[in-house]
Amino acid sequence: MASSRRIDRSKVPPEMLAKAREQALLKQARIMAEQELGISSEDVPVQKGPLSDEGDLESVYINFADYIDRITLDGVTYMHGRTYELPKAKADVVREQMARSWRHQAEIEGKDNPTFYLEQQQRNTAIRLSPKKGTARVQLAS
Amino acid sequence: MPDDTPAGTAPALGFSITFNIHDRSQIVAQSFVPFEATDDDIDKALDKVMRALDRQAAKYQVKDLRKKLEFEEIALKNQVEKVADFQNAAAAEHASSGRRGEFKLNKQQEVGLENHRKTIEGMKYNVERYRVNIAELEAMIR
Repeated sequence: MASSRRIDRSKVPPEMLAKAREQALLKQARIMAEQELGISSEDVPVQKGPLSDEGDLESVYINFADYIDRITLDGVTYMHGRTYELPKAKADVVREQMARSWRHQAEIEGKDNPTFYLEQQQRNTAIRLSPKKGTARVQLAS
Repeated sequence: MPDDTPAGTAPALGFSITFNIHDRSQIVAQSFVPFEATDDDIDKALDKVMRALDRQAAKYQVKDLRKKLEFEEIALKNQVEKVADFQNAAAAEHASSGRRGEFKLNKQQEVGLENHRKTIEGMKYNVERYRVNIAELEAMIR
């Protein structure tokens, strides 16, 4: 598939272009040879990492137990008490970490999970509406 | 030692308060009020002891908070730089792509930028909160 990017050919010296053509042909020859031998990895679709930015965005209210005030994913920091728009994969990771923090808090307070979650829900509950997406969700707020 | 308490005198109401100053130190304060003391007298005595204990704890808390404030200010500075880098990278990508027209963030970049802004808000909130808490504790120590 041809690239849609505009290429300024005037900036590329002819000898450099000739060398690049040769390398591209060599690359193509290598792929053909590997395919003949059944060892090619070039035609295998690349699966992006689990924390890719692909997918629909989801609203996530960051609500950790008291001993955590932020989470950093791929070098990006997300603060407790804020609502972020995240791709599903990242949103799932954040939700899991939030649940684990609360589980840890329940453990150190010597409470079983159902009792603890009930207490947290009774402490403060927020209803979040997303008219654009047509969703309504009950979430904990600190 | 001879007991010179007159016979028939009512005993005093004693109390003992164990107070955790920080993770390595603990103070146990003991005092008493006469048995005939009113509720107000008891409250006064307890308040006096608690104020003294709170003052001791404040000396350590203020040290911790100053450290937290220092770290948060550094984190905030880094986060602001990160946003600038993020915007510069988006602008550079637009310039190198050869796309014509005015530079505009795409949807994914807009969401990313908004998330960074929320993190900055959260960090600024923390910095302000730490400053207020430090001022309150310093007033208590003086």
